[in-house]
Amino acid sequence: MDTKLTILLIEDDPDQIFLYQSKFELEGFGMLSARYGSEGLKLAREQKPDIILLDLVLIAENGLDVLASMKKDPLVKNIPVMILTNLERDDAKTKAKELGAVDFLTKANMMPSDVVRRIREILKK
Amino acid sequence: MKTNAETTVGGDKYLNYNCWLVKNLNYAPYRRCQYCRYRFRNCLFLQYQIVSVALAVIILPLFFLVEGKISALAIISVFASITVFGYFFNKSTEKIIKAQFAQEQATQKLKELSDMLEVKVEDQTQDIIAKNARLEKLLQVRSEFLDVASHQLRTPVSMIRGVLSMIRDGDLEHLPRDKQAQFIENAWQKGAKLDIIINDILAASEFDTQTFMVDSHTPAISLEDVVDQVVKGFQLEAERRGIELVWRPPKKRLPRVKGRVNFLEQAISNLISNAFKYTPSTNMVKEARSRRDKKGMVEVTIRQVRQDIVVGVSDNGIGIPKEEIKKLFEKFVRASNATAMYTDGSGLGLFIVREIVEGHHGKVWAESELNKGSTFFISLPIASN
Repeated sequence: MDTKLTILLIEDDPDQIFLYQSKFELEGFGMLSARYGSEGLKLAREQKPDIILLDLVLIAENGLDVLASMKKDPLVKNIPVMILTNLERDDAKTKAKELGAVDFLTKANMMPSDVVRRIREILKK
Repeated sequence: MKTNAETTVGGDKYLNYNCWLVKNLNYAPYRRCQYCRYRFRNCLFLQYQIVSVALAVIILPLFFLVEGKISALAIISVFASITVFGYFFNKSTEKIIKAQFAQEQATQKLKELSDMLEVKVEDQTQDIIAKNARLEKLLQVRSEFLDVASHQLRTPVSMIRGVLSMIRDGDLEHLPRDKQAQFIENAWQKGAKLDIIINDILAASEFDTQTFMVDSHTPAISLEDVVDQVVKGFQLEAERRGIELVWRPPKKRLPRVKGRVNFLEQAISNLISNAFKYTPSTNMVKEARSRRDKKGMVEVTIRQVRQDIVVGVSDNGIGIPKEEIKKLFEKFVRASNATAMYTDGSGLGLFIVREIVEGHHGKVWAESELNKGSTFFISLPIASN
């Protein structure tokens, strides 16, 4: 690919941002990150990333609400959103799919390299 | 004034106030009247009198017509027929009245029973509803527990595995040295966190199933020694965070308390580590630090108050809204102003403190002022000799 693909990571734990950011940059992606849903939404609108990775447990926020407002935003709604979380609950999974998330990954089961593979698969489509 | 006996049907002194005779003579004319609630015009006795008069009116003219005079036989036969009629009338009406009374009583009893049954059913329904609500609450707490616990456990695990997988894949070699060190440090920290969370969850589930209690075999120990040990253990962490940790030991030795050192150590360290978490420090997340500039300070005190030893842990952190203080001792509860800060604890710290302290027959409470700081107190009764 000629142009560099950009990932927006919305995640409240700075240590995890550090982990994924390092991995994604090594893999040649451009990286944006936000610790708050609102901040993430703003970045998505301004920077138009190619894909958004969203945690469901955010500081004082529910990731599903953030997802819902993304899908309502005309500037953001066409960007694929992938859930990357440790909250493995069936109802959350169903709700995320309903709201239009393209995938639901559990951090404890998906290593950073697996996440990169899934991102590439989705962006190829 | 009507007395109770006068209004009780079937009683010796019962007076039927519906009855004209009774009302005017204030006396029940016959025993069977104590079972009767008729009005006078429906009185069976009155009917007997009327029939008797009718008999006399019919029989006497009949004799006069046949014999041309009213003979002694005629009068005797009138009396005889009235007596015979009276005998059978009495027998049958007494039965009727008593049967009516018995039925009335049975109906009354049945009504009482059904009322009682209704009350009982209502009680039981309420009981079932309450139990159901409790059960639902329990299930909800359980599922919340699993949600939070699994999330809190998975977070450090995913970090550790993530870092290890990058080492395995050779990713780390492509990173600058300081980043490499940061990776290893992060994994190390998450490992330590995982250990704490597992211990908390294990402890909390133990407290759930059996209340931990001190008993006659529990040794008397010096609480100030326990606090001293814990505070020493936190000095390094305080320096790392840039928080001033002040410990004011008592001037003279305080009386001992009954307790288990390891549990009390855990309770006091949970309070100190909470105080650290919500107190401004150099390493604090920026959104919380930016609100305040003063240096973080955590102060630990101990003193005797009457028959108790009271340990206090104060901080000059973000404070707790007053109405939320009590709730904080529940599982997974955080104050509303604390959720805006990122923490990765187990959410069980204060719950564990409460369980330990209450198991020691002690009390735990907190005083706080928003943006000024909080003080958590543990008070334990002095051991009797």
